[in-house]
Amino acid sequence: MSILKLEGLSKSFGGLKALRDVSIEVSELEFLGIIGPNGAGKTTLFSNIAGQLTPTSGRVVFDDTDITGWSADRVAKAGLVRTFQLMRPFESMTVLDNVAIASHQKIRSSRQARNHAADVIERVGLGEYMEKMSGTLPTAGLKRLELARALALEPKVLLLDEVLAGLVPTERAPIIELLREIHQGGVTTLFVEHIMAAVMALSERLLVMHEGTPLMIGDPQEVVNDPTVIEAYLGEDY
Amino acid sequence: MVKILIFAIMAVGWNIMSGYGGMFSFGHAAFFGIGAYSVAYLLSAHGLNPWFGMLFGAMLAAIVGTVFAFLCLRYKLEGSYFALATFAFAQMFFLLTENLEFLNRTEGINIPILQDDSWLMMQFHPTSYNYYWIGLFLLVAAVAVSIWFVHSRPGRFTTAIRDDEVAAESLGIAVLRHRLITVALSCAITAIAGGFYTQYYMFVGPNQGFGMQVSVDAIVPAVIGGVGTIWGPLIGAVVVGGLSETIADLVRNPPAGLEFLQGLSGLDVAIYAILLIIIVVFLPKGIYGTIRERLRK
Repeated sequence: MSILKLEGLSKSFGGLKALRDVSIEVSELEFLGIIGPNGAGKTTLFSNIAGQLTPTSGRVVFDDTDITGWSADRVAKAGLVRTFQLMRPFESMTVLDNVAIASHQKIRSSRQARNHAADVIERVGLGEYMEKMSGTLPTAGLKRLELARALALEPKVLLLDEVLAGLVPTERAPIIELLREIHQGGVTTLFVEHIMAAVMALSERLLVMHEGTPLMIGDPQEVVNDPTVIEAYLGEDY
Repeated sequence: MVKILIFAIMAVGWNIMSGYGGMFSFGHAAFFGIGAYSVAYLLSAHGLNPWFGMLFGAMLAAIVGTVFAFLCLRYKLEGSYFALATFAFAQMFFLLTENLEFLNRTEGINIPILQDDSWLMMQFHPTSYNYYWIGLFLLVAAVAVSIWFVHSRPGRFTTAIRDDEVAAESLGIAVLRHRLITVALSCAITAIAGGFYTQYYMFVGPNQGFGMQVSVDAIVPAVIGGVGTIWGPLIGAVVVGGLSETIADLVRNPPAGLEFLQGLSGLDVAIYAILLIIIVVFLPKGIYGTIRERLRK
């Protein structure tokens, strides 16, 4: 059963067509990797699904509901949550309060929201930083915080935008493990990433975006060995 | 002393919208004036008691502020452009009042003086401590409301929006709605300060209500004390209020050796300016804000 369906999704900025006729279906509990050269429209795709941008044409269907053009807060509340490539912590707050903001969406009581947030923070391995100001976290900590806030909303679908960017290899492994746990905990995941080792380790299917449109989608091994995909990345001469 | 209380209530109100909400207002005179004129007009023209006038003024200011902020935010007027719009908005009220017959144009409105003290009409002998108690009560109430707000669900969402609007929205927070709640609360508190001002001075004119100086008076205590903190505006109001009274004394009766200060008007403004520069350079988060930050480290 498909939980997220994109039908002919397009987005233009003036004359620039950032997304062209994107149609894909994501099955429930799937882990879909998304790769593509810079400027291929990966982040734009997320923004059009999650409501930061409104598509020029086409439809986004989430959980059998047409959510095209919904505001970002409404999409998030419905259970489709994205993270950002550049980390965006609420810097005047502690780690706990950052996550409690998200927990508060479903829980009215402030004490219960904080308890809920504390559980999520433990889960992503930030327990020792709970009461620290979020601005003082190192990059890897901020990435976990970004994940914790998203998880606190108890999403059905997660859109992860380059969670591993900016991390050194030793920091990546535990986060990859965490992503696997989150997915196995019952969250459909769309995963935009440049680190191919992570993409290949996690993805069940792989989508290649090129110039705003899907170039290929399918089994990760087959996709990365396909001549047209290699050409898109490296140019015709290869 | 009462003047300090009025400064403090205004600053507490301003701080909710501009400190916690991150929407810098350079035009809180608009809402102070709405409060001040509501009391003055309803009392002088219709004999309604000032308690009701303050409540009415607070509601009117909240509605006017919300409509104004809605239009600004709807059309993405943000940052310094938003601040400029608030300034223009307050000036608009200033000019409007100067030309409205029923508000007595540039003459302003005098509160009819009663023979006896009256709690209902909030009028006492000028030396009465009752003004002080009422001001203190209003200030305590304003601070209590702001503490409650900051720790409430909408208050926390508001702070999140200030820190990062895009992140807040993507976590399910309805940005516009929470911003408008913040504006409404801030305007209402500022209007109450205005209403009390009218009762204390028994007079309000366009300058006292909607003048640019009023907007500055709402900002300066909060900036000196610490923007976006609960106690900052109070500390700032004590500093600014205390300073303004000391300077007024100094200009009236300068001590031996400083006779040249006699009757020197504008000295207070000059000293505010110097103080502001010192604060911004050495304590960019204000007195309280800086101390709190040091303690946390």
